[in-house]
Amino acid sequence: MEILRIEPTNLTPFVLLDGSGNLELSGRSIPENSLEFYQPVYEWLDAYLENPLDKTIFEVKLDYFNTSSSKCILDILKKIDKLESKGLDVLVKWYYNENDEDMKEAGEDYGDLLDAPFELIAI
Amino acid sequence: MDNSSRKRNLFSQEASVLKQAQSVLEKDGTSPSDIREELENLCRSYEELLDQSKLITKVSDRLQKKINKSNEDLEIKNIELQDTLDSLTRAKVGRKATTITLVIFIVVFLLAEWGVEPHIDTYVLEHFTGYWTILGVQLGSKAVLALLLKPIEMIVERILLKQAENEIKKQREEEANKTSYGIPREILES
Repeated sequence: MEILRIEPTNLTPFVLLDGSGNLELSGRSIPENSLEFYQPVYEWLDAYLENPLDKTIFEVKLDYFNTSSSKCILDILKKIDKLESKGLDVLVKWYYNENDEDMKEAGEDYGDLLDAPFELIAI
Repeated sequence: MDNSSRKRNLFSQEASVLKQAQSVLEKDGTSPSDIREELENLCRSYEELLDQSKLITKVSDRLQKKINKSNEDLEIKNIELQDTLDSLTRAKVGRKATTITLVIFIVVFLLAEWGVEPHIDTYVLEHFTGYWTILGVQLGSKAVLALLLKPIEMIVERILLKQAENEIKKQREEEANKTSYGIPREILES
């Protein structure tokens, strides 16, 4: 699969979807138009879901995100959750700064809505 | 952005579920089983949307709290920075005032020595006779000059401080007139 790599800016996060089952989203997500930013990610994931690998790891290392991004992140996680329902090996790793209680709790909230294994990792 | 993403919005999937339910409702002669099926679908979607709303509200509130905390920290740092800048300005002005006062004192001292002192000496010698009295008057005149040193320094410092404050105020006004991109507001507005 083609690699999707989006370099980070002050408003948007780093995205790496490399087709080898390792997906990464990190940095700050406060784009003016979240849907426009995440649209290529949705499209990539939809294509990946048609022909997924046996093992997929999605790593989220966000510092901050706005409300519309929170909806987009949920939609991405829901797509990844579909891999779990297909019986594939999926793991979501939610990284947070050990002093950032808010981001940890946000991770817990997302984890509660998913069936896929969800790891909270303090850094 | 292509047309499909332009038409989409964050809740397009949820909107399509609603549209589907509305179309079933508007259609005449829908069988009870179809209505039931649609209702089940609507309930599932509603439940999911409710979960999403709860999550997004919670996450959003939490992140708002985080940004408020960051703003408070920033305000405290700003006050600390302002205090440090004020102290630095005062110290800088104080040093400048001391230098100016010293120059003024030297000039006044030299003028007094060459211009005023001989007249005082003549006056003292004409009107007083005792050695200690003459010495006392001469030392007294120098002591008056020395005592003037502090008030002069204070006045100079006050003037310089006022100037510095005006300059800072002017700079802040100029910055306030600029947008966050550094472009003067009047240019943008025109």
